[in-house]
Amino acid sequence: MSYQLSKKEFYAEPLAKATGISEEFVKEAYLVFACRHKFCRDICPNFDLTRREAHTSYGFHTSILAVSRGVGQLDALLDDFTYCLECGACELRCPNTSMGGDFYRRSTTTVDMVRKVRRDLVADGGAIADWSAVKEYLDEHRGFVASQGDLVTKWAEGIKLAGDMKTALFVDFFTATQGTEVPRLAVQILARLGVKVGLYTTPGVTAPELLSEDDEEWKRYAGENMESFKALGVKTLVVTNPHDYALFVREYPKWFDMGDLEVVFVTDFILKKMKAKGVTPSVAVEGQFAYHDPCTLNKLVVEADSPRELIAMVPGAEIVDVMPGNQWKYCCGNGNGPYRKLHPEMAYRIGQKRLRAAADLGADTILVACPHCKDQFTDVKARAGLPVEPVHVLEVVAKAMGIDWTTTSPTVG
Amino acid sequence: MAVAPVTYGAVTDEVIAELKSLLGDEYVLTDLHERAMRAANCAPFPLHRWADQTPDVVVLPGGTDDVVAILKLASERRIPVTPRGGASGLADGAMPLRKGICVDIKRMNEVFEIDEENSCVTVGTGINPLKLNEILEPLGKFFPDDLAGYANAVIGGRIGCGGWTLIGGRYGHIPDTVISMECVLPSGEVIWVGGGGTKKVRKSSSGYRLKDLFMQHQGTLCIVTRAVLEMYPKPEVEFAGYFAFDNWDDSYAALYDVTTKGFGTISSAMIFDDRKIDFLRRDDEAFIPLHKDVKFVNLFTFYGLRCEVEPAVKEAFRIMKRWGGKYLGPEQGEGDWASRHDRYHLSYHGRTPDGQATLMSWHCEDTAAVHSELPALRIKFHEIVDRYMAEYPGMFDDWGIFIYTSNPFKGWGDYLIEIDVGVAELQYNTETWDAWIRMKKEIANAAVDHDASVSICHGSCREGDDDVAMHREMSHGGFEIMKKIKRMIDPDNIMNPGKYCLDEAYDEVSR
Repeated sequence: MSYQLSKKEFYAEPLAKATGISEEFVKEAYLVFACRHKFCRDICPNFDLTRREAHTSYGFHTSILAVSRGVGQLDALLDDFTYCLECGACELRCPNTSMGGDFYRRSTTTVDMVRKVRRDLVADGGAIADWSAVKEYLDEHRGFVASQGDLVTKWAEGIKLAGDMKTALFVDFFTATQGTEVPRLAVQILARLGVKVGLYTTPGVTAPELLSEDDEEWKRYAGENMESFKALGVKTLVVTNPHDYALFVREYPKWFDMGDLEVVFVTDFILKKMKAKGVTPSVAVEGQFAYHDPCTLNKLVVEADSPRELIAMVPGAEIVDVMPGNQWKYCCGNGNGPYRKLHPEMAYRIGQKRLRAAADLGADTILVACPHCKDQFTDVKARAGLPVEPVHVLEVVAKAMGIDWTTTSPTVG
Repeated sequence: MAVAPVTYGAVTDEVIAELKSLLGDEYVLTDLHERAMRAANCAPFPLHRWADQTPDVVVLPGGTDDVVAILKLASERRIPVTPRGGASGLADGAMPLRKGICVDIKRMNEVFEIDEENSCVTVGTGINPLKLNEILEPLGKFFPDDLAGYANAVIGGRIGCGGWTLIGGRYGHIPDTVISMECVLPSGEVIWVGGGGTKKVRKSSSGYRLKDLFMQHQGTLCIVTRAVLEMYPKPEVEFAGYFAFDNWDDSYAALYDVTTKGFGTISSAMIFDDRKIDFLRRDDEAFIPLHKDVKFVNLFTFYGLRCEVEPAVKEAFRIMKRWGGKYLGPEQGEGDWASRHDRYHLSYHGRTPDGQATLMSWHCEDTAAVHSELPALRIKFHEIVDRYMAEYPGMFDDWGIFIYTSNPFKGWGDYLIEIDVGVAELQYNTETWDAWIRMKKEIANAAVDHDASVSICHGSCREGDDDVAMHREMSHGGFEIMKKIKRMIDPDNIMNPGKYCLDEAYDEVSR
């Protein structure tokens, strides 16, 4: 874990028409308004598409400041606050973050702020159009929790996992049901490296969407996780979905004592073990690969190296991607919250733009380290007919290690 | 010919409906917060009277045809129109003083043609220079517009304020790097104007050089929709050297020597004065720590081919050494120059004299002066700000002076001298706002007293500046001609009314 933005206590104060906007929140909004650089604007994938200033960090903060000065109404802002991918590009690009940041406890925290405003305005009687799709998704998560482990372990049928939970794999609802290749491959690659992992079976509702609806519920699940990790003796938690990983890095430390728990993203963990064991993949995997940095890694926690290093180890793979810093302007279109469910057409156009950029580089494959990116790019490719195949990094690594994950059932532990 | 006083038409539901039929619903914005955020730009903003400057409707045209349709409608209905680019300017060019229609040009961001053979690129004026350079970079080319708002300004706004660039000493400024442009007049008529007679010819002697008329007009004459821009080879080497001095005289003399030597690759040279260094010392995040003996800092940058820059830098080092300048090392050069676009605007970098953080907004008053006037102007500017600081403690702060080269393609002659002022913007009320305007006016008058221009960088169409710029700086017949031109091009005064004192063009005729 490497990164934590400011925890702002005043975010806990409810925002409501009757009570208005607190003085601290006004200052917060003013800091972005007053910067006037608006670097947050052109780096925003949503703005890049629409050129709508209201849907940028500058726009969100300025609207709040204007309302505090009697210009506009809080409840009229709710719809605008759904046009945020929660990707974090604006936070990174904001000089308030890059030129001082947490030294002053004044990093710009647009993602937190957008979630807070949505949450509070809905609690205050507002309604978000098409939120039912998000609610349905969250209810599926809750059902996943209610299954008490059955759905969590279904992907692992035929795979023997370690009983010891010292090193545990964290697999959330989405990955366990729609991105099953990720944990299956992770387990098998680690088995090849002689590493034992157990499976943590009660992850709760982890979706960041819940933070826009009920942060107390999200915190309750997170708190239960922390207690379970302790009870099970988890020392190292290997997280397969970067959306969860970003929450472990940015959110958990705000609310819980992390103690000596090591939370590590799956590609970091695998790379570290490969280096320790001196293992180098030997099977050639020919292709022109672009690597798409997931927003949750590259922007929200500023980690971009391990997927690239893993790809670079694959014999025959030619990488034609662009630098991580130049990918801040990209998003697959899914976002890190409810964006794709609320604005599917916009999500498609953002994904199309990213996939086209990979095609323009001559890539035939776009590698991802996030199951949501893969899901989104798969849809975009099908609709747009672009000749770039979305593939998870671990699929290529496994292939290069001679693992056929579709037929092999490894034994671990 | 008598011109009737202007009575503006209202933005009625019918007008909104018509705009929607022209542009599509999604590009006509009527929500209050959409309009409110287009009331302000980068200059200190009268938060206490926000609603007074909020446009009635915002439109986002997608190209020239849309702009033509908008302006024809506005002309027919006599509705004020304020073009808005990146809103990174400090002269309030994009602030709609008479409300009406705000034309946000940022959707017009296409690159229409990259002409490598003739070293130019044709763009929509809603494109941002950084974005443009990302596109040109693989070709080894760039558009040399290097401003504080590099990541958020757009070309149309840069044309509107006749933009200045940090590296203009080598590459020229916006009036030099825009070859030609397409302008939509208030009547809806579309014209191309350039330095030569055609779109890509830079210089001719045929006819009139109309490009200059439509440069730095701050939206008072037209909306520029396309531009043909210079495309330079990317420099092989960029060198930034910082040198410490312990007194003004040597710092000033070193600046003179390095800029008059005749280097072809010098891109900029500048001085951070003692008040600026003091301010930066208050904030340990904003500047690499300097020894207490350092009072002034000189900077020069050289851009170009290695074979040109390396020997030039050696000679420039010799000049600095001759005047007692101490080289501050590559960390200072690389660190400060690399963050030149980011670091000076941050509100929490405001510091009280004892170093306590205070929430202030940065503002700069930039003027254009010749070399001989710089010492006197530096003293006068500080005196003015000091007086207001004493009168309104905690409201204003002197954040020091920068002096930059500003003559295009050469280092000597005229300079940008700016005084940076911290403003406790959240505390503005009628009294303190009026004090701010008085302070600006005093600075503008001091500049003109020294045959300097009110602005080199941002324009002078803001309250406090415009009166001095039009009635003093342009008092030798220029403003009279400009009023006639304004009336001819914009008979109903719909283009950004209230700016540059041009309302007078209509008042006096009616009298």
